[in-house]
Amino acid sequence: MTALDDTYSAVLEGNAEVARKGVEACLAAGVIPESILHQGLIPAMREVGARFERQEYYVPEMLIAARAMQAGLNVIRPLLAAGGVQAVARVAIGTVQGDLHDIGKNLVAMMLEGAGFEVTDLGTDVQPQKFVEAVRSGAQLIGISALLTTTMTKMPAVLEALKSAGLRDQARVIVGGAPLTQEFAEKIGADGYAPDASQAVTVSRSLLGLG
Amino acid sequence: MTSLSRPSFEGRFLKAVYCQGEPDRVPLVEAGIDSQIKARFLGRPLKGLADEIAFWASAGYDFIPLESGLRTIIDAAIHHEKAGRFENPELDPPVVAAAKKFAIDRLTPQHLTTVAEDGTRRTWAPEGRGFITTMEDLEAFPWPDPRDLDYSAFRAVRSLLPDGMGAIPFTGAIFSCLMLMLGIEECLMQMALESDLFAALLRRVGEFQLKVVEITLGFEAVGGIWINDDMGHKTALLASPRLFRKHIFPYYREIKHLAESRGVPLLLHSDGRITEIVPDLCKIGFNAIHPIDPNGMTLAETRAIAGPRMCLIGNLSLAFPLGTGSPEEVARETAALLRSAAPGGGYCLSSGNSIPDYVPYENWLAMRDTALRVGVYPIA
Repeated sequence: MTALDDTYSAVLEGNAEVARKGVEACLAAGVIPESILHQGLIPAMREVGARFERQEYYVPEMLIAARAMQAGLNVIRPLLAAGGVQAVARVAIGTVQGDLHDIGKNLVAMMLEGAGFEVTDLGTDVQPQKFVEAVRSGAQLIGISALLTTTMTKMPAVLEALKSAGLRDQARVIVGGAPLTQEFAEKIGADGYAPDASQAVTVSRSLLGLG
Repeated sequence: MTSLSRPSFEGRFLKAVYCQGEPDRVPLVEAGIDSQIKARFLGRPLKGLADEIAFWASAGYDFIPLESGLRTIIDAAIHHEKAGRFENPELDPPVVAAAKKFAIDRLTPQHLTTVAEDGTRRTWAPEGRGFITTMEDLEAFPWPDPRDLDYSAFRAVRSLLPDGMGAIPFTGAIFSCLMLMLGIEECLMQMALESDLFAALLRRVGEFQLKVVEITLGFEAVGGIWINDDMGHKTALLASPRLFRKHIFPYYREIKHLAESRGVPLLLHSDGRITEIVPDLCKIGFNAIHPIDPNGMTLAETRAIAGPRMCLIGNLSLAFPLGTGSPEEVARETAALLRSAAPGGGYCLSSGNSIPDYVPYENWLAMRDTALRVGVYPIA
């Protein structure tokens, strides 16, 4: 077992301490931060997503694995920045205005981060203008979450705000949440819809042409 | 009022719940209906239990949903109120008032409230951390004696119920109590880690709720037990079925035993896709599952797994048609649902969750009217 293998296993098992030490051991062994990210942390989170979709992992296992991944990522984040390593893409994610639901949005953010995206979490009860500002700041993908039927109806306002600002073509928009459907996403003019955090990664990559 | 619009708890509702063939029409069931809708239908604001009963009975429902147990304290705290739906805060003994205060005080710093443009306030459950997150909290929480809770509605309801009308309380919730006390995310983590805190809180909650169920079943008017435990999200269970089997279902089995001893049915309400544990629910002896959340479940798949002896309740989507469709669309979707799900019995019509304030009155009415018209057996 190499340190990279240990890191991969630690993330899958959700052991944050071992994941952090695994990353440190990788660095000590001369593995470059980009390789740790792309050959250790990201593949581990991809496997977490696959296990989630196969119902071998559930929400807690995903949360624990994501925290382990973040423990490892925190070690190499400054090194990646210093080395000019670019994220896969920049994402801004938030819960729609009037909605305080948090868990689903947080899970999507964690999984996107685990897939190599740079994620800005705009929080909950996010006004449309905040999404506009995020796109102005370089977000290539906007993720909008809603828990309730009554709050999902606020999603079109975000798309309208992006259009009004002349920014609709500069970012793709993915939506999700309990009451949402593919049909609703299409109806409001969103670019994509995902029913859960794991599939949000697949859809996001696809929307951005990342395969 | 025709016989089809009159309540018929035994002849209609229980026949459907026990899957004993087709009653006169498909029963209507809801876990809750927004107070404005109830007031508009009744033609006056609801001012107490008698008005509640008047609404449910005249609207075509066969029972009134009541509430007992820890959720009355927890829900009051989340909604920052002194009392739950049918409770009288004046009747709270000091220890119950203290328990509510404990929870309210700890939730207040992160109290989650939004106010819509029309002034509608909405409170949200604590998703991160709740009001019991350490062993010290668990010990500090002023646990009331289950006998100290307010059962005045249960005492009063018998003399108020019209002929044919029943009462079923939401009670016996285990998992939702844990989630709301610990906070949803914290609960899922503690459960997955099978921590000492989770085990200790589970034991306290379980013992408390079993005692409440026992007390509740002592009231003559109680015609069933309805456990309100959300165990699923959109695509799967919130936690591994192994954990539910190990920690939660043993309590369900005890509640089933209590209900069976009293000769009343056991119902479950759970949001989300709980398909994976439907076989477990059958084995435990649940008589009905509600609301077959259309966000993640279909009636056909659930029926195929549950078999013919489990009553299925619900599945009319809160998003479309109830929340965002027109009354005509609600009527069309309701009729289609009744025609596909109800023949043979073992089905009750309900929304895919409840009827909150954002369901237009006309849409709820379209669902109800369609059920009374199309839901008459034999269904054409």
